[in-house]
Amino acid sequence: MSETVGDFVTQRLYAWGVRTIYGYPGDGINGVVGAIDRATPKLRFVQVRHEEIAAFMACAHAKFSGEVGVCLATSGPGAIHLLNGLYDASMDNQPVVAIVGQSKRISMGADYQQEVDLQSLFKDVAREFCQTCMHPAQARTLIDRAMRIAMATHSVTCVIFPADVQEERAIEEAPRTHGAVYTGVGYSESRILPHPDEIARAVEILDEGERVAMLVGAGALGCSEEVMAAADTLGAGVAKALLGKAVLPDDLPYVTGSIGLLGTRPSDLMMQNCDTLLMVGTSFPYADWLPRPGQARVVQIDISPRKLGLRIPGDVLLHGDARDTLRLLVPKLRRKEDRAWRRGIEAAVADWWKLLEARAMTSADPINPQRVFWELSPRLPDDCILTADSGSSTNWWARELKIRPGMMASLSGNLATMGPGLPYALAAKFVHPDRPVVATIGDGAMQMIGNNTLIDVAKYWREWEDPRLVVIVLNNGDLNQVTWEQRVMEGDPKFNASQVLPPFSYADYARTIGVEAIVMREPADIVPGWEQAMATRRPVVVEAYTDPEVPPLPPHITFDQAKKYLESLVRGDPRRWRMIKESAKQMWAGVVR
Amino acid sequence: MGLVAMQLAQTLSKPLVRQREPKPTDVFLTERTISPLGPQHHPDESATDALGRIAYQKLVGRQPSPRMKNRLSWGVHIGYGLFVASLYGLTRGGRTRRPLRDGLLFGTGLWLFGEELAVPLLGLGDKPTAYHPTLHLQTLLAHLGFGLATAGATQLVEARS
Repeated sequence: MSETVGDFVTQRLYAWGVRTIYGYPGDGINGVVGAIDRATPKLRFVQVRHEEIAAFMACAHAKFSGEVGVCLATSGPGAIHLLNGLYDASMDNQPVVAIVGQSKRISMGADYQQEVDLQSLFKDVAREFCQTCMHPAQARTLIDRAMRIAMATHSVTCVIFPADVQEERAIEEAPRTHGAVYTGVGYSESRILPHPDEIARAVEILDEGERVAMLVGAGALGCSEEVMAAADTLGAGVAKALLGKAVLPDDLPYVTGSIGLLGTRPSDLMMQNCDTLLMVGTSFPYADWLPRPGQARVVQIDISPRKLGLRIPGDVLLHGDARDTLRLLVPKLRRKEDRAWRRGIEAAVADWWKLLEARAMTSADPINPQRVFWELSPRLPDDCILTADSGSSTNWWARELKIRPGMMASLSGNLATMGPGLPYALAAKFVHPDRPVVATIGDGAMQMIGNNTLIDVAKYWREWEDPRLVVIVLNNGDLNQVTWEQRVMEGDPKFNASQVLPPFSYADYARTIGVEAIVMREPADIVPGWEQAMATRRPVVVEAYTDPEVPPLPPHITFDQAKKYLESLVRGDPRRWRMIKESAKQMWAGVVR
Repeated sequence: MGLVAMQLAQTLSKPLVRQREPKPTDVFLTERTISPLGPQHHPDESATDALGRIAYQKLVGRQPSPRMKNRLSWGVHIGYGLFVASLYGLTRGGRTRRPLRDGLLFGTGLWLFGEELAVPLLGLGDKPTAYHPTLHLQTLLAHLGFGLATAGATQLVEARS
């Protein structure tokens, strides 16, 4: 029997399979926090430095476990801090439940201290379900619905508990009166399959295609075999949206890698020249990197009908689970006997890897960031989990790191927010304490939230079976992605007041809180640095001093981008000579390789 | 006359032409073009084939038959030849005293700016490096033939008048 509503909430979450809650306490949620204490060790409370970190971790927990992630925060400011992480989960379709405190019921509406209209605050991010528990008997319904809806709709849900309700005596079963409801625990996934007629139409289109491209995303994670079978039958190449990086290993000769501004040349070539596109589990946002209107016939598979026909008009839109739909589809396809298209893709992929190596090996001042990633790639442990932050480091993460079978990888795909790289890595360690984790982060994100998360790493790492957590910080003193966007998209010179970061030694900082640190100051430090990092049986910060003027060259440069780049030079970019020099070296590397 | 000379030069130099070693990446048409408009010609089409087909499609709204396509191609070829020959006549007529030099310059210019630059930039042909050097030599010879014949004919007409 539950003592209080707080106790009931923890027991109900446990009944739903929740074992870990990421959060930060406060007086608005003390009734639940105290109950978690009483429920320990069945339930684990992971206290982190900031509610935003907790929400990122809940999102990553869902991504790396397939379970619902749960985060907790107090009323007012704590609740507000959750928002960015919750939006990350919402936009990447992750099931996350937020348990949030609120002022006592007698204070609500009184313009009380820390009283925020949480229903309004969360109504967008938790649009599928956001409710306030105004009566102890309501707790059962609200927790059951929040969990079930989060699972069923792959979304964020939120339950708000006024502080006094949390401490009231629990009512596990409402009295049998008119209006009372009795919800239960449990949810099982349905098998969602498209109509057979639609499958037949898809087969017809795919069979007619002579140059088939595939684009896979997070929805195709876990169905590598089916994707490979489809690609083999269709003689297709496979591009991967960032959230789908782990769908296929990058050593397959027809995997063209990432797509878009952060993408690869073979992905771009494939999209520009295909006559048929098969999209599996992706809502990759940048339509300008997909086939031009009228160029290709499109077949799209997605578990969410909301995502169908979202970026490019589809000829056949298949509402279904990626794996089951591909299992239905592939055996009906005719194998393409003419493999010229596939050979072309494979040649472009092979050439791309040579180009990447040539670019990575180009000198810079002091270190070319591409080389840091290029040398890391073959040294990644077999079963590691990769996480990335948002920034120029994401370019190198997306392009240079070759995923191998068994690895996992994720980042903030659709919100593309700064900050989640290290919280994701920490959550990965809670979900898979036996696997090494490698997080890649820019110095901007490290100063924003990463340094705080590192305190949590220092706090928890001794619990992990495999204590390896390697954190790569690219120290270039620049908010580099945005600097390049200012130059190439706006034609503006680098604005030092907004772009330059205060100097900070991430290695020194790591050591002061008990985390190992390795510094890469010159190219000769890179290989020994990685070997030492991977052999160290505790978390390590690898601080690499990299050159901010090495341009993250897109797969193709548009006339407008070239013009804006020149404008930024003419308008007096403070680093213009180094920009020119490093850009020329990168371009030249592509010519002479 | 110019077109006849051009055809003759093309026929005579045909044995010299070698095909470029095909590359697997030739399947990417966008890789074979330098045109900001993208490739406008099909892999088996010459520039005049493509221009004729595009004009026909715009006017009639459907693809021409192979026979019609061939006729259109010749139409474009002859029309363009007459046009540039007239331009030559207008700009050089009456002042031409050295037909050999002028014919060579005219043919070379036409080859350089038409065949090697305008055609690939308009997407009516692949980028110059997509062809074997001997093919460039052949088209140069053909254009020189055209230039010389045009300059010679202009000189002849002027001498008679």
